[in-house]
Amino acid sequence: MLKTLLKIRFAAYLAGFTGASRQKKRQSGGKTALFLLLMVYCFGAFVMMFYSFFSQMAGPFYEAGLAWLYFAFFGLTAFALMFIGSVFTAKAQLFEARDNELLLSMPIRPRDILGSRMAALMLMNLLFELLVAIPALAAWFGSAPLGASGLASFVVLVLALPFLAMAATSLVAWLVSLLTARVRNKSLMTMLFSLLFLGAYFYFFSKINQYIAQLISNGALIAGRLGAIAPIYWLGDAVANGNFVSLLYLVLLCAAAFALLYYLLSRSFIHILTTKRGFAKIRYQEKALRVSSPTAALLRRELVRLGSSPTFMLNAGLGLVFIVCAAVALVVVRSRIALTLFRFGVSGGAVAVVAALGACLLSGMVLFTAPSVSLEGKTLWILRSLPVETYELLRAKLRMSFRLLAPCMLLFSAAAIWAARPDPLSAVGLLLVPLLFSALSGNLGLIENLRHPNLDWINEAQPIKQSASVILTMLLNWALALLPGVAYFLLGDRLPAGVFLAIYAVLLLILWALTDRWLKTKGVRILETLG
Amino acid sequence: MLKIEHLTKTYGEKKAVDDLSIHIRPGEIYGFIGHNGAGKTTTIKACCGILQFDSGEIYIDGQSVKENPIECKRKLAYIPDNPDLYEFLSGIKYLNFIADVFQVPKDAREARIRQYAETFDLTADLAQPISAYSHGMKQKLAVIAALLHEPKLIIMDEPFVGLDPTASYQLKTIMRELCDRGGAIFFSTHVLEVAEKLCDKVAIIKNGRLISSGTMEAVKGDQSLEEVFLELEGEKNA
Repeated sequence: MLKTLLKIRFAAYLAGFTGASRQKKRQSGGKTALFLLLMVYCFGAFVMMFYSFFSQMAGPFYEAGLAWLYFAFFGLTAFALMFIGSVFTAKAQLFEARDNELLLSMPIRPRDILGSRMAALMLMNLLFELLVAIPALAAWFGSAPLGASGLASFVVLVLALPFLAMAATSLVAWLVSLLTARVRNKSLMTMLFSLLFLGAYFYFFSKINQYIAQLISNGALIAGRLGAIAPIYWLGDAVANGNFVSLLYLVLLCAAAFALLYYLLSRSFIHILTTKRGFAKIRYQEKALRVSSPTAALLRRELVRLGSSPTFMLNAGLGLVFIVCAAVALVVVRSRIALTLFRFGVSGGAVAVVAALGACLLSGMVLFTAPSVSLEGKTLWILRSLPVETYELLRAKLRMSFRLLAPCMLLFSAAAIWAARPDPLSAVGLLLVPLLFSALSGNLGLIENLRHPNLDWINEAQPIKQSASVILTMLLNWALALLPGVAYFLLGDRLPAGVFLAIYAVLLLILWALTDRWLKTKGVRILETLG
Repeated sequence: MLKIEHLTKTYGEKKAVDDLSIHIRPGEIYGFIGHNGAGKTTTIKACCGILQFDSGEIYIDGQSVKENPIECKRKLAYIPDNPDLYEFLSGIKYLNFIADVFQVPKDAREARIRQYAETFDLTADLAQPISAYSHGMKQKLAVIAALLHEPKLIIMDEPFVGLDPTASYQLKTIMRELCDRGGAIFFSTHVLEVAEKLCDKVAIIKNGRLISSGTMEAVKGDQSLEEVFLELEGEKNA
């Protein structure tokens, strides 16, 4: 039974990601190859990032005789990445999946349902872990040797750690699920909790270089303190010294934590899923209804849809928080930013270019339109039966994205103009480029979602977090922001910043017009045949 | 009111609807009967302009669904077999959204919501999020939403599924009243007793092809509709 459930779970993942469930034809070899290439690229980018991170530490730690601390640090990083990567998905996957009731009505043991869900999450955790494990091992081999027993321990450790991470994420997901089930403003509470969590996470990562420097310079001291925490010491000792006893302790710890959580959850799984905590009924009191135009009503519907889902708000709109934070940073720590840019050889007019491209990169993370068609799911029939032009339905999604993004971009541009004090042409470019980019990225998201729709999702995290349209849109956005930047810096001083920004603005305008045309023609046709 | 002419729709190799022609006049309640997968939902969705079809024509009150889909949608209301509504909205907000898009004037929408919510005993629940509604309550809400803009034609796919006996009775009354005012109803059902009592005309479809249609008396003669249906199904299977 578990095998069957696992097959279904993985098939749903794959179909959701590739949109295969909506496609009548088999995917062509070219498209499959492109898709695989994209995945390899994403994986490679993260691996390179972690490689540069670990390669700074490997040499100094080896020379200081603190090999165990290096591998302990690898274990902690991998655990943190697995935890952060799956904690938000775990709640949705374990307790809020749409097929819960269907599966519970079948003669399937609840623990098998739970097990199949945990196995799918564990696979995701293993992939996250490999992003750290491969570069950590490669960086170590680049600076120091590792014996066969150490390597064997490393492999076992890589296989064991996802169990510990799974136990931790399941526990948090369970607690959040219990907590939010008791509050009325579930969306708001989840959103606040998630923002606090992410705030702490980004604070930690903003200080990561400082921590690495401290780790390297105070390695012995930190080793002394961390060494006192047995599991962390086992982690490092098992690999660095090939100590199988430490490895055994650690494997037992991972297995015990997972088994305990699995036992507790499987005992209460059916109770959690089937207990509806009712609230006092809100009795309708008749009052005057607000009348809006169809266009305004469609826009409001999009905004309410967004506001009702913490998953949607956080994943698609986190870029907005970054843009506002960046704008504030430009005003508050202007001189520090200028100094940092100067160290990288960015000064004069180039500052305006970097600011504009930076705004575009951040805007590229705002992905409201990329899952918006998929999110219609089984309610798509409502939109399709309304007496409005099909393009209006798409335009409501674009307007929602632009209305939220544009004020943030204007704030950023104003802060950047204040901070960089560019020439008038660059200032105009700094205002226009982020706005045009916002409009274009909205179009690109919608196009990708129309090309890769998934209306059959089991929980909304699938179209929002695990869909081809979201990843492709983000990569396209970043490519559109980075490639012109590369061209600008390759040209050196031959192209004034203001002229570059003007050319870039015109290019964005042309691309916007082309994508808008696509949406009005092919996009409309696709939406009319969906569902 | 609804004229379907030589409608054909294929899914890959399979003809879901094959050269189907039906004509529904103002004042008629028209039942649409067929086995599972016969092509009822495909026909209904094509009539509502939410499914593209390969050939043929569909006219709503003289307007082509292909040429003027927006005008056609203004005149009709569609109630699907499964009331998947916006669970992120409350009942009243959903109704107001539909009224906004159909541009129902303020006084009229307030009066109609009051009237139909009372009729279907849903008034007290309108402030609740739709996610808290039962299947039947969602079905009632879908019916109220469909009635808000006073459509000339209502197209329904299995409208009585999930409705309690009182709500079913109210819906049948409303259907008859709408037809008495010159409107028309086209609905699919598997409940042949309901079709027999309620419909002026009936069409029976099998494997996408119309096998019998006309007034209820002409189709069933002295037999019950169930007997006729089973006979026709049997004949075609033989």
